[in-house]
Amino acid sequence: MSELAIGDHAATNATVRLAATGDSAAFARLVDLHHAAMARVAYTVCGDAELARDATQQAWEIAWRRLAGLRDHGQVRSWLVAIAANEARQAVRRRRSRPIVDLSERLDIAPGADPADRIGTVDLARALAHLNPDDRALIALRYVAGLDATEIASGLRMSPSGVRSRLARLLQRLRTELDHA
Amino acid sequence: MHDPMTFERRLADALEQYNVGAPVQVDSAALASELAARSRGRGPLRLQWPSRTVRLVLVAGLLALAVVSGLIAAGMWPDRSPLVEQTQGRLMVWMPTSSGSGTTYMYNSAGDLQWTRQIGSRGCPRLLADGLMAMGDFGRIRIETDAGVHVQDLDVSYAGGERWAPDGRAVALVDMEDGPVTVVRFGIDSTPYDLAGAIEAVVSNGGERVVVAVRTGDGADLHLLDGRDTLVYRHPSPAESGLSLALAPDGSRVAVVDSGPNGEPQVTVVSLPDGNAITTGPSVEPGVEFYPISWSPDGSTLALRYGSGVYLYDAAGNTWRDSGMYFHTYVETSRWLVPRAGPLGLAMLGGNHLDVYRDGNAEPTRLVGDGPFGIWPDRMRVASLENIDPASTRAKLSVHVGTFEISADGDDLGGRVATLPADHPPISSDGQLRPCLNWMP
Repeated sequence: MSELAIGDHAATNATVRLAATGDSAAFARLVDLHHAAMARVAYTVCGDAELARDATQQAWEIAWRRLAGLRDHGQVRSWLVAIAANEARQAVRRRRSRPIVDLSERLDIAPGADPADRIGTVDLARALAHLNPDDRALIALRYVAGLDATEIASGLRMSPSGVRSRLARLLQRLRTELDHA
Repeated sequence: MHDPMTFERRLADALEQYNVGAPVQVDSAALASELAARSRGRGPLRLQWPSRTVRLVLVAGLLALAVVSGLIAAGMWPDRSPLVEQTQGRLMVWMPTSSGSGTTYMYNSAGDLQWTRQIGSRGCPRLLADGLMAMGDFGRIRIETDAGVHVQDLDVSYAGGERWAPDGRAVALVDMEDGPVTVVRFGIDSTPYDLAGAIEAVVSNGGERVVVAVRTGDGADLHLLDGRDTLVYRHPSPAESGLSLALAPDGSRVAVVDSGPNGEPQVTVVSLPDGNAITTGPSVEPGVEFYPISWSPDGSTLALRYGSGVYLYDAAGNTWRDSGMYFHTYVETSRWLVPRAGPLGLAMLGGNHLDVYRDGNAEPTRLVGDGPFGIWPDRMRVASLENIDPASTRAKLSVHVGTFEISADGDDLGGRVATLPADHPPISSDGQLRPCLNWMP
């Protein structure tokens, strides 16, 4: 491990420790560091910016209350994005009138993408749209937040092997749908 | 054809592109200040006396608790725990191999290994009261007892779609292609019924009553098989809609769940054998995937999984309510459990792990994980296989067999844990050859 990494780790721990005591400046630093990842995860699950904003806000409120109970300060990122994913799932559940979100419409207007790649992406998005919020949360934590199976398992109250097998099933399902797209 | 790494990269790329619309902007200082202000606004923790009504309820509850404790101490209150002790169970674990054979490990209810034997079977063998049954091809069943081995050929071209009685003493074989439904009551008889178009069946204990759904042009007909074949109810249902059945524990009613005209979940409770029916359903938005229903052990309540929630139907009051449970994770199977003490609690099981939920409590209690499980007929204990070496996916697995008792609070009260011999056959990690287990009181 490099000195820089050790320094980053120590700084993170210090920030979390301060924030856990109610230091709003330290908490604001955590927001700066992790809000974007949490918002992306929530958006992937919700498919709706307003809903994702509410879910992320709710996640920060929970984080504020529970930060003192976080034992491993080095895991703060995975802890936060897992809270955001859970809140997003709850938000979707509360608003059942929109159980499936068509991602493809958004991707069709996404600027800057190579048209050749975009076709495949649109197909992929259509396949993603058929997943339920729980499965989307899993996909979001793995491929948007970049968590590994152990971190996801901790956040979603699953076993690491359960996460791996379910992710494998999800990927297989997506592949199958893409083969028929 | 998709390369796995390429596919995962494409998935990540697509998500990154999609998340351009995510609300990533935030005023961090304002957010932190607001949260801090809210926290301060709550003020210091102050203890307050509850209202007069709450105080009265608390006092009454304490008095009732004292009275009940006294009754239990005096032996006047029916204690349910002896039921657990009286259940003499056998637990069978079958470890399949790719060749269709497998190794059977038989335990007693205390977790002691009784014997081991190689048994070929198409799918898991089943325990019988006096032996076990293995299913072969072409509807051939093989029954092993202490008296010897009995092989019986059934009058079906293909034995598929087995639907078992809860007590394991009967099975209905539904031939999805040609239609005949064969009801096998072990040690009693085997009766074929000519029912072309059968799509689903449920079997009561001992096979005394079997209800079969037969697809028609504009719905499904429900047939009651009890030695005779009686059409009891014509169920209107969209042709493309799936359908599942649940038979009440006493066999007096069958519940049909499918999608209504607008995609909403629709539950029809049909009395047997008169065919009187009530169609109902929870008030939820249509279009969410729903799962099969199940009756509570006392037959008073139906549980319907819909989306990520569970809805409860009071059969006597004809009312629905949201249980408040929320399934955080993927669920393959759900069952009711009866807590060891206290009021009837609702518990559901998840796939690849076992989570117990209580009615009104959204947070589950995780008891075991990483393996198949089975529920004992008394619905108070759970047997589970647990892989304790998940890293060695293609090596031999180490498997624990344990029984778990469920308390009123959904807690694991513990149980005997045994370990399978280390020389059991290897199992591949493709998910197709999973160990299975079942039980017999």
